[in-house]
Amino acid sequence: MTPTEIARTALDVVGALIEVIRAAEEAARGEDPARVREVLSGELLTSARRAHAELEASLRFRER
Amino acid sequence: MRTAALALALALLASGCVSAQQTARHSLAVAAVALRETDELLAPRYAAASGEALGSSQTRAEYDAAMHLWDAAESAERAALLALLSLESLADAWTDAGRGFLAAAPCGLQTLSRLAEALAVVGVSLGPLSGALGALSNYAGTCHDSD
Repeated sequence: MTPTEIARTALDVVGALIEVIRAAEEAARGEDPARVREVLSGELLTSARRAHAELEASLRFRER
Repeated sequence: MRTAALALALALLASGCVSAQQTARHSLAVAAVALRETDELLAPRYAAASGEALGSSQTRAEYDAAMHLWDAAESAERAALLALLSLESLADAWTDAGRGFLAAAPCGLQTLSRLAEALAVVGVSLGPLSGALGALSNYAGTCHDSD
C-alpha cells in the first residue's frame, strides 16, 4: 500500500467509527430511529430498472 | 457500514433498558437501510443483465428466460419493501403486548430471507442484508401467512 492509500484507509476507518459511535449514542438516548417509509420512500431503483427494461423488450420484440 | 452501525446500536438496545417497541423500531430501521443498500447494489446489476439479455435474445420468450432469476430478485425485493412497511404500521399500532407486530415479524424475516436467497442465486452480494438478518433474528418464529 502506498502512503496515500494507508492514509485514505485510516480516514475511512475513523469515519466508520464515528458513525458507529453516533448511532450508539443515538440509541442510548432513546431517540426515534429512522422510519421505514422515509428510508424507502419512492420507487426501488431495481423496480425502475425492471420497468424500463421490460418496456425496451416490449418495443424490441413487439409482435409484427 | 451504516447498516453495521445500526446493528451495533440494536445490540446495545437489546442489552439495555429500552422498550420492546423501541427495539422493534430500531430493528426495522436496520432492515430498511439494508434493503436500500441492497437495492443500490442490485439495480446496476439488473440493468447490466437486461442489456445483455436484450442483445443476445431473438424473442421475448428468450429474453424473459434470460431475466427470470433477476426478475425473481426484483420481485423478492418489492415483497421485502411491502413487508417492512406493513411491520412498521404494526409497530405504530403497538399494544401493550405488541402482539400484532410480534405475530407478523417472523413473516417479515422470512420475506427478507427469500430476498437473500434470490440475491445469492444471481450472485449479488448479501453484505448489508446479512447484517439485518442477524439483527432481526430475535424475531424468528413460525410465519402463519397462507403463502
